[in-house]
Amino acid sequence: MSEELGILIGVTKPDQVTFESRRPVSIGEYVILNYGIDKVLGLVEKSSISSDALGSSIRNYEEAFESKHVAAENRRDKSYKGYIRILGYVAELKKCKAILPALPPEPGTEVYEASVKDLDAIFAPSGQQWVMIGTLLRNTGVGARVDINKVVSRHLAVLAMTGMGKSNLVSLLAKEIARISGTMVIFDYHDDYSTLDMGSNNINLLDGRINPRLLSADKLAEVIEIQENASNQMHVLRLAFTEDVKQRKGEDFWDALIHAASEVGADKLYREAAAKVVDKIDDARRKFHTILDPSMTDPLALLKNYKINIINLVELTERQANIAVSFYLEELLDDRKKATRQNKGAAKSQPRFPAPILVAIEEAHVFIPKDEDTDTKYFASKVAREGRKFGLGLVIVSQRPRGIDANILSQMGSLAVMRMIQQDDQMHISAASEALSRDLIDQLTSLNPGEAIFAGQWVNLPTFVKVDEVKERKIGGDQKAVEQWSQLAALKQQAAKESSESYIPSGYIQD
Amino acid sequence: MLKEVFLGALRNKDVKISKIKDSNFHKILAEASSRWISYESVPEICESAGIDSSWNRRAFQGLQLYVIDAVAVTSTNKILALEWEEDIAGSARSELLESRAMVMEASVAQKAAGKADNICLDGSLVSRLTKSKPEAASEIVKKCTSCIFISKTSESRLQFGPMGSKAGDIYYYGHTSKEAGFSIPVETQFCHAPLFEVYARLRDHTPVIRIEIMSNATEQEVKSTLNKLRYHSVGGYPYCLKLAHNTCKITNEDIDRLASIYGLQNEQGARDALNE
Repeated sequence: MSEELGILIGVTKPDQVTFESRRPVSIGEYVILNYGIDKVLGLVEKSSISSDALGSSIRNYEEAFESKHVAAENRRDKSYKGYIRILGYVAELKKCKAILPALPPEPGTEVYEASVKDLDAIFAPSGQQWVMIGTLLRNTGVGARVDINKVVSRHLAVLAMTGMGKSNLVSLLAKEIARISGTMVIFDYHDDYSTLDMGSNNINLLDGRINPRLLSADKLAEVIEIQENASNQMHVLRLAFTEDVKQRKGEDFWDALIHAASEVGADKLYREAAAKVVDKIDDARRKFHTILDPSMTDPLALLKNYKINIINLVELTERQANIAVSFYLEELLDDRKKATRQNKGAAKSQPRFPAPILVAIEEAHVFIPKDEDTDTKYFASKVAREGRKFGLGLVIVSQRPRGIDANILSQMGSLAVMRMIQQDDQMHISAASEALSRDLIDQLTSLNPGEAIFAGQWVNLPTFVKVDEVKERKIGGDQKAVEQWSQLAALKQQAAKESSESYIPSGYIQD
Repeated sequence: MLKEVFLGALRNKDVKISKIKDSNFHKILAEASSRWISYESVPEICESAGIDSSWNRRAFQGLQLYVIDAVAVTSTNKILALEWEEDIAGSARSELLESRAMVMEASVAQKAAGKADNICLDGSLVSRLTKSKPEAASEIVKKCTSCIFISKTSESRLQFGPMGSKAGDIYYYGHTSKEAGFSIPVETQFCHAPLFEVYARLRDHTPVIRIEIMSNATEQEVKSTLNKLRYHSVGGYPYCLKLAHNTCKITNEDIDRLASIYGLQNEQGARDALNE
């Protein structure tokens, strides 16, 4: 048994106890209590230090100053209190089961520091599905592993303020999934992952392109930026976007579409609308020629099995990105359904992805917003509901949880929550997930970059984790403006000097 | 409370205050000022011990469960001596318990003597005479000759009573100035022994405290005492006395716990009998 840390005091409950400690205790520290039939594991959720001399009765600075001196010499002056959440019997936790004792421990029960051996067995279980993600925040000697099976089957939400390590965590997951030859698709809205260096064998980088021929007329209207309320223009496009037009490839497609739209304009009623549609098509053709590609094959065919597929959406507008993401989600879900049916011997054609896939959506509050219906939201909701059966996992990543649809957020079986200051965000997470207690959520403001609380089905217990840094990820941080300006200024100065020197005749300046 | 009480207070405030701050008030203040010696004490490193006692009781169907304790503790929370007594008796009058507590304090003071540089007892020695038996007071005189008695409040009118003061002497010293200093020691008698009364302020703008010294108290000796008291004082009051008070305090919860140990809580009618 490790060193005694303290003694339980006050009223004890089966799931919550308070102890007086011999030293200050950190939030997130794990402790062992010996009662009932076995050792019981607890997590320090709150911690406080009080001083008898420096109590709240101090009336002014002078008194505080004097009290500070007497407090320093009185070794009984300080009280270190820890508030423990009982997590369950250690032996059961090692078997991934959280069984709480039926009875509360008696006040006076001794509290011990949890040993590395016990914590290792609980937080870093062996098995191929358990991948290493970092270390316990307060016990850095103990590894923290997460269950990738649960991530794929029950989904994951990665929530934190900007710069706290969301993309790093997703990169780490990608790295570990690549290591076990898994398939992952990352929708990269901010070009955070294009330099993720895991060897060309593991990464498949794709530009987010849309084949307009594969879209419905309504989605094509969105892509070429026809206003939603322009009903005449929508009507023209619907009439013009015929099966025949859809069969054309490359530039021929655009010509055929323009021609068909002009033909609809022959009707006097739609002349003006048709002219506008033609303009819009022409505009989109020129402006989005790198994005809208009628000659590309089925986009799904570009995704590769057993690789980390990174789809770069940086050049797409929000609406276009939304259509691209929803397209992939719909197709992937269909393919996985096909694969499942095939396993049961019911599928007619071969699926592209015979094994489960994990899909990560960055900026989830944009694609899965709370107060707006988007295509991505519809399909993400379907994946969240049905993905478990068909082996399609969803990872949603956001710095603004309050902007995410609550239904989808509540279906994320696992959570990785990092520093979060906004009360609204905290409340939204708390309302959407039972995995995080209010006390744990209160700790979110105290986390540093790279530190997270993991909760839900991908871990045995709510865990404070120091997430490993992915060294293979070269960018993602903020741009250093001052440094770059200084470098540019120095270059400019050098160039100016060199250019004026060329006009000075040699020997003109005498020493 | 009745709102009429507040309204009356608002209306008659000036009249009522003028009863205290009458023409005599300024005369007394002038006198107090003439007896006040400005002195900014210099902290002198020393070990001070505070002594305090406490008692509490619960009546139970003609029986009294009582506890008395006394403690001597240093500013660094080192217990130098302690004594206690708890019993169930047919009678335990407050005067009796007070006297026993005082005897206990004397005994603890005797045990602590020599273990600290400065031994302070909480409360006034003179006021103890009014609350307890004379034997207890004489016990104090016997055993606490080297101790000093410190009180935060006092009703003593020894110095300004003859001038027709309405409030205690401490009130007038508190109003003369806000600077650190002390009053000229005034000698009185306590149980046929000389006792010196000094009012002092350890630091500027802190409350005045009343000090009783049983040995001879010259100005120089008072200054030396103040220097010792200043070290480890908080808000102009020795910290060891605060610790002593907190350490020995017998709360109602404590006496309830004791009643529980004796099984008295479970007796029929116990709650009424326990004044609850």
